Parts: sequence; C-alpha cells; structure tokens
Amino acid sequence: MSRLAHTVAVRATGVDMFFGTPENRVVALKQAGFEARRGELIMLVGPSGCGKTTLLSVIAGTLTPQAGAVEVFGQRLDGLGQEALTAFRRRNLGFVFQSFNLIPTLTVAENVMVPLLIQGRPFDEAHARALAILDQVGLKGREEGRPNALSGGQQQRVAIARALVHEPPLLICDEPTSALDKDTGAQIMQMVRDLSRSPERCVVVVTHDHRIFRFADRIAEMEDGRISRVVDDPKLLDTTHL
Amino acid sequence: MYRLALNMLFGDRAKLAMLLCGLAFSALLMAQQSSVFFGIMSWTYTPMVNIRAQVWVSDPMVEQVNDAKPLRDTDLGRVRSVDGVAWAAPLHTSFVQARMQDGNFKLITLVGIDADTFAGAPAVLSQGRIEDLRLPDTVIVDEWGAALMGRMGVGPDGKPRNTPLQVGDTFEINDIQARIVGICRVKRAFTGGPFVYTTYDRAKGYTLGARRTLSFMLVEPQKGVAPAELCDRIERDTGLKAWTSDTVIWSWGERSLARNTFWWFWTNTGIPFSFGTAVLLGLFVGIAISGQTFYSFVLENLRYFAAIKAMGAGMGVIARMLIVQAFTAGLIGFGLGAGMAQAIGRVMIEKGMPPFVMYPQILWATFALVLGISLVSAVIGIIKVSRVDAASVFRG
Amino acid sequence: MFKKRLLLFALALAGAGAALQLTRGTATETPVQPPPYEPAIRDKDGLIAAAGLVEAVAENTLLGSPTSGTVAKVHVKVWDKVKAGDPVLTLDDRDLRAQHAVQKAAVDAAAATAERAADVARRWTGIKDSGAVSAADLLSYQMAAKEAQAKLALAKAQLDQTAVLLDRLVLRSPIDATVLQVGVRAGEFVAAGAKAPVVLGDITRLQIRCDVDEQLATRMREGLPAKGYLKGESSLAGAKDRSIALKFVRIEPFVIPKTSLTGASIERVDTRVLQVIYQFDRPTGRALFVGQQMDVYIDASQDAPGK
Repeated sequence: MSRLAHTVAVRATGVDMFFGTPENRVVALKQAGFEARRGELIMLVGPSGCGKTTLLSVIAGTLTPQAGAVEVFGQRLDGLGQEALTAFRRRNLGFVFQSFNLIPTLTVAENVMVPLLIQGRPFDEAHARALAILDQVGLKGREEGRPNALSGGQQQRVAIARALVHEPPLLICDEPTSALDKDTGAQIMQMVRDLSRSPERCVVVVTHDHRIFRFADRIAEMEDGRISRVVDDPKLLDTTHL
Repeated sequence: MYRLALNMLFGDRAKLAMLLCGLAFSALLMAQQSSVFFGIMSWTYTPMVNIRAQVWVSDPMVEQVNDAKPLRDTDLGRVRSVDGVAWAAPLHTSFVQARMQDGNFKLITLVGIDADTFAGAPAVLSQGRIEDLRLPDTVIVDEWGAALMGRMGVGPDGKPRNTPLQVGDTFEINDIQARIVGICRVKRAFTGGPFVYTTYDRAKGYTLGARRTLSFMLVEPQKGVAPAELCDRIERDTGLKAWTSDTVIWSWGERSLARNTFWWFWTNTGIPFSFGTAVLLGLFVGIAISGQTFYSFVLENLRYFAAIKAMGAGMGVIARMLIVQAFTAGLIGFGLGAGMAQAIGRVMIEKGMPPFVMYPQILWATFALVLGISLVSAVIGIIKVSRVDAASVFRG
Repeated sequence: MFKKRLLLFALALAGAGAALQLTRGTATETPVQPPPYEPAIRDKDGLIAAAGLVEAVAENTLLGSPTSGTVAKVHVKVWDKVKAGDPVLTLDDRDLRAQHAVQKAAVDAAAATAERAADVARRWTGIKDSGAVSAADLLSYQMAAKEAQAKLALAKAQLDQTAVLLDRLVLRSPIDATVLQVGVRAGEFVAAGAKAPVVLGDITRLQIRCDVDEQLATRMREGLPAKGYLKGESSLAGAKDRSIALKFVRIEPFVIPKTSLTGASIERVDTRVLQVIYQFDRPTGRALFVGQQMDVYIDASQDAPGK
C-alpha cells in the first residue's frame, strides 16, 4: 500500500472529544493535534486528566472522536464503522496495557498467541511464533506456566511479546511501567526499544513516569486536552508536576 | 480462538466444577424426575402391557382400564359376529381380597382368562406351566405378588425374613382355595395388588357376588384388518366400546386404552402436578445455578474479553467463543447429569421401586433444556461483553 | 491437564451413552403374541356367533316306572346300547308270582270241575230218550256244565292278567338307544311317576342347541349352514380344520331368557336368547359328549339354500 510512501505514521488534527451529557460535559480533547512518524518511539506525557489516554484511544481506533481527523498509515479512522475499525486494529496494532491484561486461565504461550489467532492463523503456527518471541523476551522455559506464577516484570514481558508477536506497524503502550519498580521498568522499556526498533514501526507510549523519558525519541506533552509542545530531549521538559 | 476459549473455560477448575455441577444437577433432576413420573404413569395402564391383545372391547361407559364395567356373556357372541374379527376371548379383571394362610388379607388383581386358548396369558412364566391352570382351584401369581404375599419367618441368621410364595402354596379368595401352579413375570400396577391369573370360568366362582363377570373382551382382527378399523366396526355393530392396545406413549392412537388411562390419571389425580413442579424446580434451579455461574465466569473474564476486543477481535468471534464455552459446559454437564440419572435409574429398575421409565424423549428434552440454559447464559454473556467499551482497557 | 479434560469428556460421553442405552428398551412395545392355544379363527364375513350346548337328537328319553316297587334287577349299564324291547329294569315280582301260582291252581281246579260237569251232562244227554231222566233235570245238568266252563274261562283270564302285570314289572326300552344315565340300584324303591331312574338317548346323532343373542336374532334365518368348534379341544390347535359341520334343524319359535345364570336371589333376567337347533354326525375318532359347550358360527352371509 501507500504506507511506505509516508514517513508520517499517525496524524491527528483538530480532534474534539468530550464525555457526558451536553449540560454536564467533560471535555477530554479540545482541538488536539498529534503526529508520530515511522521508526520512532514517541511518548505522550502530561498530568492526570490531561487527555493522554483518550488521545491514545482515538489513535488506537477504540474511540471515535466527535470532531477532527485521525489518519493512521494513510487511512482515515474517523468515519470508519465498528467492524472496519476492528479489522484495522487486528492488522496494525499491538497493545501493552498498564495492568498487563494477561488471561489468567491461559498459559503464557497461549496468551501470546491471542493476536495471531484473532487474525485467523493456524494454532500450530501461532504456537511456534509465540515460543520464538517468548525466547526473545527471555521467558524460555516458562511458556506453559500460568501468568500469575510470574513476577510483574515477567508478566509485562509476556505482554510485550503478545503485542509484537503479529508484528504490528503501530505499537501502543499504556503506562507500561507504572505497576513496576524503577529497575524493572527500565528493563521493560529497554526491551520495548530493542524489540520494536524497526524503520516501519511507530511506537506510542503513554506514561507519566519521568524515569523512562530517556527511552523516547520525541516527547509530546499534553495539557488540558491538547498537545502543548513536542520536544526531542526529555531534559527540556519541566517534570516537576509529573 | 475456540481452542483458547476452551482453555479459558477449563483453566479455572473451581469455577468449572461449579458450572458443571449446576448443569449436571439440573440435568439429573429433570431426567430423573421425569423418568419416575413416566414410570409411575406407566403403571396406570399396566393391564394393557401384561394382557396383550390387539383390540380390547369394553362397556361404552368405560374410561380407563382399571375401571371395568361388566358386560353380558352374550356380548361375546355379538362381538364374534362382527365382520373382521378373527377371534374374541373373554377376560375378567377385578380387585378382590385374598386371604393368606396366616390370616392376613391382601388386595389382588384377579385376572380370568379363557381356559381354552389362554388368550391374555402372561408372556413369561418363571415357574410352572400355563396348562396347569386347567387343574381345579389353580392360579398363577406374579413374582412381586409372590414376595408380597409371602410368609414372614425367621431366617437362619435370626433376622426376620420373608419367604415368597412357591408353586404348591395356597391361599383363599372368597373362602375358595387357590393353589399356585405357576409364577409369572409381569409389570406392576398402579392400582390394585399383584396379578393373580386364573381361568375365566373359575374367576366367576372366585367373585361370588358379582352378577356379571365379563370385564373385557380380547379381540384379534383378521389378517389385513387394522385394529383401529376393527374398533370402528365393533362400535358400529354392537354399541360397545372398542380400544386399541398400543402402549408406546409417543405412538398412541386416538383409540388407545393406555392413552385414555394415562390422561384419565393425568386429569383426575394430583400426580402430574406434583411431579411437574419437581421437574420445573429442577429446571429453575439448573437455570439459576448454571446461569449464575456462567455469568460470573463472564464477569471475571470481562476485562480480558475487552482486551481481546481491543486487539481486534470482532463481536462475532467473541460471541462464538462464549457460545463454545457455554455449550461445552452444557454438553459435559448434560452428559454427567444423564450419567447420574441413568445410574440411579438402573438401581431403581433393579429394585423395581420407584418405577423408572426413561424415554429417549426425556433424554432429548433434557438435552435441549440444558443447551437452552447454556444458550441463555451465553447470550447474557455476549450482551455483557458487547456493552463493554474496547477503550476501557486503557483505564488501569 | 489435557488428559484430565479428555477424561471429563469421556465421562460425560459415557454418561450420555449409558443413558441413551437405558432408553432403548422403552421404545419397544410388548409384542402381541398369539395365545398359547390357537382359537377358532373366523375366516369369513357375515357370521353369527352363538354359544351352543350338545344334546341327543329327539331329546332324551327319561324312562319312568308305571308302578311303584322295589328294583329287583338293573339290566343295563351306562353306555350300553339297547334295542327297542330290551329289558332295562325289573321290579320285585314275588307277590304277583305267588298270586300267579294260586291262580294257576284255580284254573286247574276249574278245569277239573268243568270236565266233570261236561261228562255228566254228556252221559245224561245220551240216555235222554230212555226217559230215565226228566227234561228239566237234563237242562240243569247241561247248565251246570256251561257254568263250569265259564268259571274256567274266568280263572284263565285272571291268570293271564297276572302274567301281564308280571311282564309290566320289566321296564323295556321303547327305542334303539344308548343308556346315558342310570339312577337306581337293585333293592332301591321307585315310585310311580317319580324322577326317571334311567335316561336313554340316541347319541349316534347329536344335536346342538345354540343361544343367539336377541340383538342378532334379526339376522337369523331358516336353513343357514353353520360350523361348530368344541370347547376344550385346544389340543387340536394348529390342526388344519377342527370345525364340525352342522345341519340346520329348526329355530325354536320362542325367545327365552338366557338360562345359564348364577341363581343369586337378586338376579334379574336382562338377556334373552333365540334358540336354534342344529344337528351333526358324531365325528369319528374324537371324544364328544352330550352336555359339552360349543362355539357356533352360523353363516348368514348368503341366502339359505333351498328356502
């Protein structure tokens, strides 16, 4: 497709998003604009309630904004139906959640296989690829165990393996380190950087953990429902309020 | 994905056990209660099963087989004069008191059959020969009756023991001796006591007071004449009531005496109501337990289903996953429940008490209801998951 | 874990299978088996069924005694065949025999008296002309001879009468018949006109009295052919044809109450029957007795032949 032609991976312009009734309206995004490129790891930072999770949801195609245009790899997401959005997510997105969201009744390998199986890949192929990527995240030998038997860092590594197993062009990480201690968080971010580094892939990380800002290529700061500024160096940010 | 769905289901052993228990228990309750119900109801038309003939003829006012209204002896000639009749034999049935040798009284079902042909004789004799019924003062009793009317004594271990009646033992019916020359194996009846067979003429003697002794006539149609058609002819020519003798409940014809007996008991007794409530309770308990368990299973997995949804699984896939889970649980629950029901049933059949008749239809209905419960649970789960916003996964 | 799951599936499958297997017996109806002994099968339409009782042709002769007396000798046993005139019973005849002997002596005495009177009369008649006797005396001698002759005749007649009376004490069969019942022994007393001591009947040809329900009576006509099946002949079950051909005799003109009732005091007659008489030849090689019951099928499907 024309994906290669764009260096821009994600572009959102003039996005309005509000919740609640018209009388009691909570504005989450107000004319927000955002841009991410292929091959970079961009972080969305900002205080609680600034709208970064909402913006992430809009980019991920799980929320449809009331106004504005969202374009991911050249495809407009606003105006797509639920089914098309679902198909889009299935093809293009990998997720790492704050609370891991690993299914406790499945084995580690089975959890990793989920995105492939959703795509309709055969079970055996999915299993083989899951084992391969679990090896990469350093969990060889734990494949048939349950996620609950693993430490928080190991669980998040499983989540990363799951997010990348189907090699999505867009990786979305929602507070990946907030449930982890400092050292483990750094290891996880290092792993995200190492594994996802690809000229085609764009990684969007929402976080307010300033200890991991150093892993970002660029940092977009949000304030009151819009991007206030984008910087290349985390040292330029005022992190006191984070 | 369905394999994962199954793994999700089987992963939580405690929840699975609870779910299967609920489903199996409701399946057990439905199958077992219905079987006992149909077992008891099948006792109501026992004479139709024990005394086999193609067509039964009775007084026009007769409603069911346990309620014989006597006919005149010459009615036999009238029935025999109907075209299409191959033969007709007299039959006497009545409930009389029999006096045991120890002075105890027992209610029995006295059956008098034609001594010439023994039409209506029990099919299986475990002891004795039917021909011995031609000897004076002789009867054939059924196995249950032999035990029921047996003598209480003390066994070698000092405990009370019941000695069943044997061939050669005697008792009295209306002060007339009855000597047992055979033991037969027949089905038990709902009303009256054990079956005691004798000849038609001797039955007249045993029921001194009765003015007429012809209760029913057993009729065989000529080759090529359908029983129902013969019934029409008999009713038209004689004004008596004629019945077919089919006893398989789902193939009952309009003229089936067994069917009319069944419905007579259905409308005139409280049995269907009491058993119907038990079956319904089983159904409700099953729906409540398994629906509740499955719902909590869905609730617990809701965030994971939301994550799967966010990862790009459509509602169709998720719905099918839930259906696979619910139906798998339903199938296993049904199998376990049916297994338990049949195990109980086999013990009951072995003991003969209470009666247990598990029709295939009962099994299929139970199957359908259990799957129905599963389907309802799955639908509730699907609705719950479909209401969940995929975006909710991002909120811690 | 996978094995455990398989076990669960297998358990469920086994349970369902066992339940299904248990249901299989319920689908079958107890088959209607033919009776242990095959009944008489009606093989055509238009039949009238009736219950029949076997009796001897011309009904039975209840042999009675003309006089009361003690039985001296019984000449027959049951089943004996007797010809017309054969003695059956002899009553005690000793008193008549004694009288017979006295009367015989009286005849002899009267004969002697008559002979003497005749001789006197003849002799006096021969010498009539000699005048040795008066005409009046001669007449008297002749009259005495006649009187003695008459007395002889009287004595003879009395002897004959006693002989007839003696003969009457021997009961003889009026017909060719079989002795069906003997109710007395020698030495027993029989009263004139009392219950018949001996029953005779012609059982070479038997007849059957059929009770036809009054509701079927309208279909009955004279001359209809019929078949009979003897009760208690189930040993012949399976034989190709065990029916006995019956020949129409007559219809009793009177519809009567059915007789075989239990006799209870509360009994009311509610069934009336038309009686029809049929005749048949005693079948060879088969036991058949007067008084036996028979299931009779009268063929009313066609018009009676010859009527």
